[in-house]
Amino acid sequence: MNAANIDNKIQELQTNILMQLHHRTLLKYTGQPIVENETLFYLLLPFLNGEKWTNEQDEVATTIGMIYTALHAHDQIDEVDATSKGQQLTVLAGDFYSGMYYQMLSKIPNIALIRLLSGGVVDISEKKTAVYEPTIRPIADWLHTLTVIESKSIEQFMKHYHFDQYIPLMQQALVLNRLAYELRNLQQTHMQTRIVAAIEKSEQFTSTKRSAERILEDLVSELSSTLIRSISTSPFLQDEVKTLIISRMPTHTCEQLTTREG
Amino acid sequence: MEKMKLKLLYSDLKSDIEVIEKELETALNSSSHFLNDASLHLLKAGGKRIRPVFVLLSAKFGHYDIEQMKKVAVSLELIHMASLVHDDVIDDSEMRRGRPTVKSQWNNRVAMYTGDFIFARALQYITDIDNPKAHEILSKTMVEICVGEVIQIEDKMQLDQNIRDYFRRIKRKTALLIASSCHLGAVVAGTDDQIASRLKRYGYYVGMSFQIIDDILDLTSTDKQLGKPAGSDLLQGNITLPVLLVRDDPAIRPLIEKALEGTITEDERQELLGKIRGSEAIKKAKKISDTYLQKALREVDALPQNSIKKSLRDIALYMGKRKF
Repeated sequence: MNAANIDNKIQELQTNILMQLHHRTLLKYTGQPIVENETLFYLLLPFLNGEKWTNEQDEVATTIGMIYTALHAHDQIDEVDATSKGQQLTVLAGDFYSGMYYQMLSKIPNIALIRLLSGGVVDISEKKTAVYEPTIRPIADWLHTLTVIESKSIEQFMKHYHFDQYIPLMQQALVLNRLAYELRNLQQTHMQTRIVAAIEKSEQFTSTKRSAERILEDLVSELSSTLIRSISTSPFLQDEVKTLIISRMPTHTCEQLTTREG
Repeated sequence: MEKMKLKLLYSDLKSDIEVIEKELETALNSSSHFLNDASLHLLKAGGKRIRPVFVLLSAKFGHYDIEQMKKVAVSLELIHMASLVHDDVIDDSEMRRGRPTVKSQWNNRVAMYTGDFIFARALQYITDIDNPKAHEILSKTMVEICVGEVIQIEDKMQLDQNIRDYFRRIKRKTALLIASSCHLGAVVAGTDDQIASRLKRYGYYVGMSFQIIDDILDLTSTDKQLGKPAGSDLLQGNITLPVLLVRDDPAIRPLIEKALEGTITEDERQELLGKIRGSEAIKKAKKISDTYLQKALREVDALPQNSIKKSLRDIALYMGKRKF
């Protein structure tokens, strides 16, 4: 599959998700639901790499995209003041998108998958609240937290359809993306999100006292090397896909910033 | 006191409701300390558990198995709880049932994740029921409820809305989840379609009657009884049936407009409440609620002979006639 076809496939999935989640009022006040391109790329990775792919997998991939969109909507809620019409409707947008993914899986019908994916949402929600707890944890714990938040539902999807070999690579890439996002955000706004503050505090476990920016730079650099190693040692990956993953790595891309938390 | 009265109406289900209460505790157990605290906080606040009661009563018309039915009942109660946690963010509510809300005790974002957690737990529970129709009913209900809430925000402050808009709103806001509780109880217990539809309609009519009474009580109860200022619905921009029925009265409309603009003084709020209470609107709204109640009772009458019919009737009457 060449780069243009890959982009088309991601675009097609994105369009499907947006069609499923379309609601006139929500669109007017909360804007287009946020469906992250990188999430979709790694969700589709087995297909893009030429694995056998069914219509059901297409449908389930759409629902996974809907789950991320639902959870992402709730990340946009202000911690202190959510009284504007836009914020009120964003609360409802997240709930509406969740209802829609449940409805879509009910129609397939795939009850086992509903159970599996809702278990994943439980894990993600638990990890998202972890940043509000006063406990100081080692950096490894926070990296695990980010792995769950960023990749749990895709991991479940890949396990369910026996694409297990893609999981480590997908997780590394999505955590790397998140950390690179946090780094850019910190550099541009000079404001720490909760997760960055938590990571900075975890430095208490080490002898070196680095700034949040330095910690993030080091983590991004480490994870980039790990990802490149994983790509080069993955014989199942087609060369074209390897090149694409490398070209999408954060040092090569500059995404538009959207609020993220958790 | 009122909650105790209600509990007496379904005393036959006491042991099964206790099973559900315990199961709710298990369902809300989390590895996150925050979510555990927030969930425990919600459980302690209690609630009438009216949705589980409707599930169980409806299931009595089929093959009643508490192990199966508790999954449905717990799911519905969890969905209700999750929506309350998110509603408190939307309404910026500091207190619910005399306790600080999740959003006020922690913050809006924690409330969002708590609601998402509870909602996902509800889906985990309901998936123990291997019945595609049950999932179709519940997922459709959840989507409709959200759409109802979106409409409610859209209709806010719109004093010249149609009365049909109000009915459409309360159907989705309240009646649907009660109707689905009855419907799901019946479907999962394997009653025949006619009985399941009748129970669904019963739930719908009870829900409509209940919400109209709720909206009346918001205007006729005292601040102390409500635990918030009487007329709060109007102060928040929600136009309810009694207000729609008095809005054209030239002596009252300017005060309603002030309430919606947020410029009403305390004396004017008291004056407005006094005028609405003394108007025909309250009587008319009660009459409409009563019409729904009678329809609910007719559905009960048409159900097959079963000792549960008395409980369904009593609960409908309680919900439609409650004074507070």
